Amino acid sequence: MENNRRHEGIWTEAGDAPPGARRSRSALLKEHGNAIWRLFFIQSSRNERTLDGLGLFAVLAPFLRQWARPGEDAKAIARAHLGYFNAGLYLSSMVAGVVANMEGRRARGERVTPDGIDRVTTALSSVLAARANYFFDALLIPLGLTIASISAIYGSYIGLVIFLVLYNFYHFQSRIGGYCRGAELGEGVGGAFVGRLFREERLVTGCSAFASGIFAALLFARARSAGGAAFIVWGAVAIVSALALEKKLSRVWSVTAILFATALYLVVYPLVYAKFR
Amino acid sequence: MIPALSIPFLAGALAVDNRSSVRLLISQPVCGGLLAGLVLGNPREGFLAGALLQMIFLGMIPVRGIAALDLPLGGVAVGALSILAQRSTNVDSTAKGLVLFLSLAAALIAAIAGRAAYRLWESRSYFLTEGALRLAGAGRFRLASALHFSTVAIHFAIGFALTAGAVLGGVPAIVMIVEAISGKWCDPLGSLPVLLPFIGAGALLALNLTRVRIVLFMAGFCAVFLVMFFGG
Repeated sequence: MENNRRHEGIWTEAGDAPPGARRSRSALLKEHGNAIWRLFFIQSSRNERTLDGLGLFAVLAPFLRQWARPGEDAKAIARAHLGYFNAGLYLSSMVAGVVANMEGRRARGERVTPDGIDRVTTALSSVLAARANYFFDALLIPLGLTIASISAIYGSYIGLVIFLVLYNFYHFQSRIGGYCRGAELGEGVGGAFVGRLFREERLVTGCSAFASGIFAALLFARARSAGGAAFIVWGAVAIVSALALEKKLSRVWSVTAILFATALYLVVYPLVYAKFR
Repeated sequence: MIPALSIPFLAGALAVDNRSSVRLLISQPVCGGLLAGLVLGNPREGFLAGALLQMIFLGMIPVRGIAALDLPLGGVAVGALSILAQRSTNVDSTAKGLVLFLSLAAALIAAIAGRAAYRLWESRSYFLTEGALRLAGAGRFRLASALHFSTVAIHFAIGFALTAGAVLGGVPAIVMIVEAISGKWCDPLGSLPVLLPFIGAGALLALNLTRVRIVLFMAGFCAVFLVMFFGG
């Protein structure tokens, strides 16, 4: 079964929708197109009290009237989706898809309650937000930016292109693909999916560490050709300082301190060297 | 278009990418610097300045999705300031390093200001959700959604205003400082792009200080020297 669905990329782990609920990707995109473009602005109105609650409402707004059962007021459904919502950026779309699926089923008379929708939203949000933030912010983006930086050392734009392609491949898979899977599978998207989310995670972790090592080595090689031992020593000092200060100061202050210290070193070192030579 | 308008316009557009969660990451400094350079007719200089800021902050992980700095704003600022200040100064090329250093410092201030401005906005913007609740209660869903989308203009305006301030205030300030203090002493500052990326390398090392990852980090590190040694 998995082989047949391999073309759907990282979303195969979630399993198939029940036969009755299976939809083609184009049919899903057509039906949910109005929600999908809205997903790309979901954090626009982020605030400290409800976080992305208004964003989720804006994504679901086109469907609210369709979801009202005969005799039911759509305003009540709208108010239910205007509360607190925090599913991070990358997989909030999947949660929105799940909500769309469950509300649609509720409107068709299936046994889905507003409380059930609320529970699933809360449970999926916390798990998916943590998982996706880790994958994107701690693995994929550092890897892409390290590649971009390696090529920038040599004045090349190719690394920047690789970074944008690599990141946006996963980005669109997560946001558009995630919404579609959520809308197709409903709450069934959890469980197995969370356990095997992003099967490439190990590979990306390894590549990220390896690329970081390459980046550090290239900096030392460049420092050697630009300034010899004096630059190599300062490079090592900067690395150790960045490591040590990170535990004592915020990143901004540690960078500022090393930035000024490096400028001072570059200015003072030639004077001291000339005096004692 | 004059730089005082085109650069803030670019920064506003990138602020929308970053803050409105379009998040194509064209707003990262390495890309923002290049775009600023393209707008000002010197893509290479903008790219190198943006890439330098990017390398300094490599490995900076947003905590709970919140970055400590508004780096996208800083990327445009450093690219634009270094190009515009070099064009405006009457000093020779030995001051290039000093211009870059001052541009980086100004870009850091802009990035801190950007973060502070968005924090302030996030702490005060609940009134929009309250407004949307009222509209949703009245059945005016489209208007309630419009309230959400109106914030895109706010993000654009914050990016625009802060970058306009950085360009209009930063370029004359950098030019004034460079003309006042530059001399032969600042020539070694031209090596800043060689040494500053080590800060990012330190942060990347910190990210990889686990048993498996440090082995791979060292493998990458050694691979470069092996290639250099055997490749001549």
